[in-house]
Amino acid sequence: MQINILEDDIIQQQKLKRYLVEIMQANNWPHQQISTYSRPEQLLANLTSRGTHHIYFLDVELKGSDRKGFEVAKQIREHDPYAIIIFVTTHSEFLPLTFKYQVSALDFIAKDQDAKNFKQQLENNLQHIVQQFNVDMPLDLFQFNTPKANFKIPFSDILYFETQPGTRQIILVGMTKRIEFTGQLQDIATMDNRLFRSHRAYLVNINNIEQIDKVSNVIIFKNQSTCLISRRKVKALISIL
Amino acid sequence: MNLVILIHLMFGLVFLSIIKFTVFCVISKIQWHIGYYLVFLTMTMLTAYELGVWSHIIQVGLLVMLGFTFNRRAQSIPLIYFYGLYAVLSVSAFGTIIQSLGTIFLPIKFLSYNTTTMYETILSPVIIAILQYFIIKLISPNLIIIRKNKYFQQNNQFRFVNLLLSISLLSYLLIPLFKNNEYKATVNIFFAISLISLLIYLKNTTQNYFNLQLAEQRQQQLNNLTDYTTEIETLYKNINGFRHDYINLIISLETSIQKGDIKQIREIYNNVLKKSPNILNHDHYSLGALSNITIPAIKSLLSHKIIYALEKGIHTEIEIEQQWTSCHMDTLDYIRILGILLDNAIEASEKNVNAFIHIAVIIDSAQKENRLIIENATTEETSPIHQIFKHRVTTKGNDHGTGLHNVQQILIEYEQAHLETAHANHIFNQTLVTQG
Repeated sequence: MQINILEDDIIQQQKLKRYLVEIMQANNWPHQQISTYSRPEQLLANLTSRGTHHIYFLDVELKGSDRKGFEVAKQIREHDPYAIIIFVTTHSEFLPLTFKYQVSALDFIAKDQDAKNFKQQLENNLQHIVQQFNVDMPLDLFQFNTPKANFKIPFSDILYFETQPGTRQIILVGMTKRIEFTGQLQDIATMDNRLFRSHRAYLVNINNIEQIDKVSNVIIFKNQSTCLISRRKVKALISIL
Repeated sequence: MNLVILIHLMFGLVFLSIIKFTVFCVISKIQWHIGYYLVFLTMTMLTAYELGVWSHIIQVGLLVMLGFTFNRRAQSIPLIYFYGLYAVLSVSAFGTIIQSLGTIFLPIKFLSYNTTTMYETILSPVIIAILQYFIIKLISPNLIIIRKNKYFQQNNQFRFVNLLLSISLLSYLLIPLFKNNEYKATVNIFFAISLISLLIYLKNTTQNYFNLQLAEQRQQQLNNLTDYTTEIETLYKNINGFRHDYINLIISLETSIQKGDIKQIREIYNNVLKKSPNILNHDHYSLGALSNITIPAIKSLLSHKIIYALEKGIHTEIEIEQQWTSCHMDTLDYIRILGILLDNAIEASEKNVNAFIHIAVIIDSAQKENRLIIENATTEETSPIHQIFKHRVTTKGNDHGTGLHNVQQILIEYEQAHLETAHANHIFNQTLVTQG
């Protein structure tokens, strides 16, 4: 793990560094180095390699600008989509949803909480990173990008796409997610060959099918959701599976 | 000669049926589909051959069936009947009127037979198409309002308009029986009256309804903004009070420091200063983010719902970084969706001990994209979210599901809007993305 701290208050900077060292020694976690920066330019100048082993602890309010840390996070994210970004700042400066969406921040640690909780939260985050580090594989993302809508979702989360005949409204039904957008099923079908048109109104992810109920012509998915399959498509689908 | 007439007739029939079908598709918002059109054309031709003018009734029936297949859920029977009736009747009636005008104004006696047929089969459909274009352009905003409000579709005035149009159609069908120009003229006048009353009806009711709604909205907005101002004033008083205390504290700290009384310094710090983040990080300060909203209707609704949630003891936060100047959607529709999503979040939070609602609006002015995120904590870890959008499924015995069904109905009208819903790790998330 390569840890970078951006904090313009030297006392807090050193306190954070000390905590991190203590936590990692207590848990026997490997770390190469902890670099501390008090000016954004220094940190940005040192951006080199990429990957999930780069961890950035950023303060949001830095001298001269109350959102500077956020700007830095954006630049880190542009440079490295896999880096882990954690904000360490006061409660009033943090915008959890905005930061999470715009720079995929992992977490936000409030400075204005007592030392014990502060340290505990640090440890939880590092724990999470260490675990992820071992299992992390490049995500197989399904990306939808048209002038009408753009989003991405891990392909394995997709169960099926549904449309209402006569409209151009499509609903993506996922494991824990649902996205409603404008498009056409036949266009989506061509985007990935793991997608199968089971019915006039349905396009299914064959990887997430648990079984096919041939009596009632229904596909049952891994999380027990169901969708329709037309009788004449059953054979074709079974042969693919 | 006969062949030429036949071709002319065929041409006229095809042309007119295209106009009828297109008019129907446009006003009922069904996608134009060549397959359905060919069915319509074939049926029109067959029935025209078998039944003559009475085939018009079949045509209306066909269109109504088509509308019924696609729009059964969103639109009621009287409305679909109106679409079909209007499409068939208006095209036929305009045809008859143009034909009559032709007989009056064109010096037919001096023209060859071919020219008059040309007039009837080619020129008159073109005129009809142009007329239809302008009329639809004129009435479509009103039709949209009627489509969105079931109340209008069921009311008696709308039935009366339907009745007038039905009588007009029947009278047209009777023209060949009477073979009488005076009758024809009467029917034309009757149709003109029906059409005018239709236009007046559309303009009047929708306008009234619109005004009424607008007035209600304004009043509501005013009330909400008044609440908002009161809330902001309270916050200001709190801050002011704190500032006063703070200055006093600094003074006593200064005295203690000068005296070197470390015990008193510690006491002041522990008792008072350490607690100040609690005062300053109070939930209500997130209302300040609303100052970035320049759309009064949205500001009013958001402040109203947030204050309501805070009063219920729900930890509520809102993030708006940029100036929010447009929602890339009809404001009324946006407010309806926003209201439903917020109501659901508040409702789901009510029985949750660790309830919180996080709202964020992320504005990407370069992409002209608005992203509204509403998150709330839930007691269940996750749930089959697709179910709650269906018809009237509800989790709590009230309107939860109905609301989301309405959201979906509104979004059908907007191609450049999409809604993401997720429920995992005890967090229910709704993200509405609108693009301009």
